[in-house]
Order: sequence, then structure tokens, then C-alpha cells
Amino acid sequence: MFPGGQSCFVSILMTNSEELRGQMSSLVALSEENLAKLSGLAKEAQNNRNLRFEGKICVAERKSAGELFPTIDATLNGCQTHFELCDAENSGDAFDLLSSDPTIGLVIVDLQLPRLEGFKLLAKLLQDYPQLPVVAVACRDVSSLQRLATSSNIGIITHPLNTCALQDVVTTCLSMNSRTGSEDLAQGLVAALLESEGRTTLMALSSGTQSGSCFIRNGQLIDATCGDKYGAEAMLELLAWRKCEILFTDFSDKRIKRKIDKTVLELIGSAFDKSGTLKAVEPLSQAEWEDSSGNEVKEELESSLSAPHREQVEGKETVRASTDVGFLEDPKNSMEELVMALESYLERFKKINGYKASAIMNFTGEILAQDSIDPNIDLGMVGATFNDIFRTAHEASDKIGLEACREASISTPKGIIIMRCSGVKAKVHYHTIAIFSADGNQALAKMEMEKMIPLVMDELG
Amino acid sequence: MATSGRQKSQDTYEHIDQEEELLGSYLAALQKVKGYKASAIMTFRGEILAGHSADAKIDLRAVGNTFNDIFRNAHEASDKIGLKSCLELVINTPKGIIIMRCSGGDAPVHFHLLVIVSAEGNLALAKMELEKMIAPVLAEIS
Repeated sequence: MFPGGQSCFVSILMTNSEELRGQMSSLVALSEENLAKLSGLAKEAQNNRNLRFEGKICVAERKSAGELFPTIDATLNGCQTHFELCDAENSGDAFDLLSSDPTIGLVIVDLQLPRLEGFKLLAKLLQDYPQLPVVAVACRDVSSLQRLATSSNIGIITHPLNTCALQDVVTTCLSMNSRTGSEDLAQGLVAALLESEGRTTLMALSSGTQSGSCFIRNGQLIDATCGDKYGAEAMLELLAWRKCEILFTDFSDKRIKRKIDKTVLELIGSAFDKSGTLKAVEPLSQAEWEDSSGNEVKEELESSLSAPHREQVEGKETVRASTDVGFLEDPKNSMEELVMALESYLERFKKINGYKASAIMNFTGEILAQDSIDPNIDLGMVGATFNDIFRTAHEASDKIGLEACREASISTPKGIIIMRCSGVKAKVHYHTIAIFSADGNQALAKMEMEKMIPLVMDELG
Repeated sequence: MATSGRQKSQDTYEHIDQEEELLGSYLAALQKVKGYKASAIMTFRGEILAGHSADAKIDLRAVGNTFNDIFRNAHEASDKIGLKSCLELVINTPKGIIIMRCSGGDAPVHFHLLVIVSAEGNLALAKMELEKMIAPVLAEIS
């Protein structure tokens, strides 16, 4: 290639002119595949030039995952950057860092942080730090949410991390001068992410003197209330709020029937016209709503979700999220009941010879119930690592046409670790892990795991 | 002895082919196991030293590394909880079983064996064959 040809060629690849790109590719007889590769390289080169960053990057991820740190380090080292990474394991750590260190110029949030810590952090950043660039790392495909994320001025990327994609999203985030519009639809973005990540939570929102809630179960928007409105109508009103505070509560009442048949994204799409104004929605009649639910549940939801609770905080009247009344007690009880039920299933393993530890996790690795009689084994710490191994095995076995794996046994000189999956396509995708000594009765353990599946699924369903 | 042949052909790299052929011969025993689909001998880093696949869908060069990574992560995780580094990993799927075996982290040469059989394949025999293979393969590559 003639001198300077490479940069010229790169410039051509960076242009939007299809004609010019076509001519160039035919000139040098490049295959489509090679052209795509070169385009990628050109884009990367362009990003390297564009990405200028000096300051600290706060990375909120599980210590056990430890994936973001090296990837970010490798990604930004080649760019015109002078940065320092600081880690946070939960939303509290991240906020301590942010309040104590004004040089933090970017926050990268892993949405897989346990107990919805990633979501709590994201919601708080959207609300309290509108100027700070944020990148959220999701676990599932979020391509449908990219537009919504862009409108909220945050970057969004999925696991496993890809250097080019990370560089792209960081560049885009840093190029945004401010996230002045981030309070718009922030709650919509958080709810849509909860949906796409398959989470279960009760999201309580408050804005000024108004309060409302929406309930998402296993990634499905179930119901919402806002003042005297409920269902889709309430959700639409919640989505239209600006600058609202978001709180999350562990709540998973399977008695509550689904009353919203749309996803958050569909609601956002149908709610706002081209000018961004909220469209009028046909309200659901009281009778219709009552029909769609048992009275007992309706009363519970109505009384707990719609009543704002006022209290005096430092002489200032504030409206607390409605989860603080009634609902807070019920979900706690309900959660405790669920944990107790799950722990009763784990009891079965304790009777098996050689038992050391066991846990039930959701497929993302969050521990729902656990037990250990071995002081060396803290499943809260290592459960997520074994879960990652299992999930990688799911993907790898699927790749070779054997379908996603159901069971994995890891044998060591001192013990055996058995992991069981309820099934990727089952109504609830959860994982069980049990650890036994090397001479433990693994056959019986596997049988118990098999028997547990429909029962635990019912419990979690 | 294999080493003398290796010395003679050092300059022509023939020894590499010979070694692969020799290691490949150990995989022949696995091919007789009912339900056999594929097998490989890998370094602990995931480099394939010898491999064989009877299933067109299974490209060991492409997926061997992934399974090796899973196995190595399992090594670390099990060591972390005080059970020592793992020696065997069995992954059951609706359509097949993947078995990985390690020579042992403390062995003179740390290598991994991989065999894939169908769901109704003879898992016990496959495990026995893997166990039997370890000593001769160790002797060959050390």
C-alpha cells in the first residue's frame, strides 16, 4: 500500500458513503468479512483517538466476578487516558466513594450485583448525579433498550464484555456533556432493565407529594398503583413523572395476578406521542380490575400501594414510599415464608451422608436460601462463582448441539460439588448446588435434587 | 523408546506429527465406548494435543478451550472452599454427557482429557477408560 494509504483507507471505511466503501472494497477485492473486520479496526482506531479521559472510574461489581476491572484496564490503557480504577461492592460503597472523591468521572455498574444493589445504584445515579456518565453492564440482551438508555443518557452493555463494545460505550458516555434529560424516563429505564434481567421486586416511587409502586415478578410487569389509579393507567402516570425517588423491596407474592399485559417498553412506546407528550389512556374500570384479581389480593395491593405515608423528617414533611406501610410487613413475611420453605427443601440434603453445604439460587446466581455445616464453605461468597461455571457450561453444551446442561458434578480429592438446573425453558429457571465429602452419597443427593425441582418451582413460581 | 525417534526427527518437526499420532492412539479406546461422540487430550491451558470427533457438530478446536476454561474455573473454585483442585467434571445435558478429567495439578505434567458421549452412552466405561489413559499419556508427554 502507498504511504499514507492505510490512514486514507481507514478514513474511507469510517465514512458513511456506501458507494465509496463499495468502490474501495472492489478495488482491493476485499471479501465482505474482511471489510467488516477492517471497518471494526478503523472504528477502534477512531475511538482510540476520540477517547480522552482523565480521572477516576468507579467500578461497582461483585468481587468474585472480577471481570470488569481487567477488561476496563485493557480497554482504556490503549487510549489517550489517564485513569485510576476504584472498586465498590455495593451501592453504599459507591456513594461513599462518589461523595468523598470529586475526581470520579465515570461509574460502571454491574446490574448483577446481589440484592438488586446494581439497580439501586443506577436509580440513585440517575436521580442524584445527572452530570455523571454511567455505563450499566447487563446480563441479558438489551438491544431493545438501547434507545431508551440513550434517551436517558446512559451507556448500556452486556456480558460477556467485549473490548470494542466497551470502548464504544465509554466513548459515547464521556462525549455526552451532561445528562440533563436523565431524569426523564429514568424510572422507565430502570423498570425495563428489571424486566429484561428477569428480576422480581416491588419498585416504590415518590415524586414530591405523589407516590406509587409497580410490581415486577420474574421479569414481568404485574401491576402498578398511583394515587387512585391502578394497572397500566397507573404505570403510565408513573412513567411520566420527573425526578422521582426509587426504592426497591423484596416482594414476590405469587397470588397477585398479572394486570398489565404490556411490557414497560411497550407502555412507553404507546404512551408518548412524537412530541413526547403523554397520551390519554383508557382507564380500567373498577369492576374490570376487581374481576382480574381475587378480592383478598386486591385489598392487600390497594391498601398497601396507594396509601402514601407521611412522616416528619427533620421538621420537613416528606412522602415515604408506600412500601413502608403494610406492604413492608407483608412482603417481609412473604419473603421469610419463601426462604423458610426453600430452607425446608435444603433440610433434605442434611440427612444425606457426607453433606457439607447447599443452596438454591436464581439463575443469575443470587442466593435464595443456603445452608452450610462446613466453616470453610460460605456459599454466599462462592455460590456465584459455581453458578458462573454452570452457566458457561449451559452455553458451551448448547453450542455443540447437546442443549443446555441440566447437571454438573465436580469431583475433587476431598469432595464433590453437584449443580442442578430446573431447565432453561422451565417456568422458573433456578439452580441448586450441594456439596458433599468425597465419600458422600452423591447418588441420593442427585435423586433428592430431581425430586425437589417441581416443588421448588411451585414455591418460586 | 519414543524419545530416540523424537531426537532423530527434531529438525524436520516430524516428531510433532508422530506425537499427535501416538496420543491419538490412546483416544482409540474411547471410541469403542457406547454413544461416543468426541474426545481430546489437552494441555491444562487448553491447547489440543490430540483430538477426534465422530460428530460433525462438535468441533473440538472451537469448543475444547471453552470446556477447558470451565474446568480450570472449577479447579480454582473447589480449591477455594478447601476441597482441593478438582480431578473430574461431568456435565449432563438432555442430549449428551461431557466428561473432563485432570491428570492432577501436582502430577509431573498437568493435562486434561475430554470425552463427549450421547445421553444414553456408557458413562461409567468412559470414566474408566479416562482413568486408565492417564498413566500412559503422562509417560508419553512428560
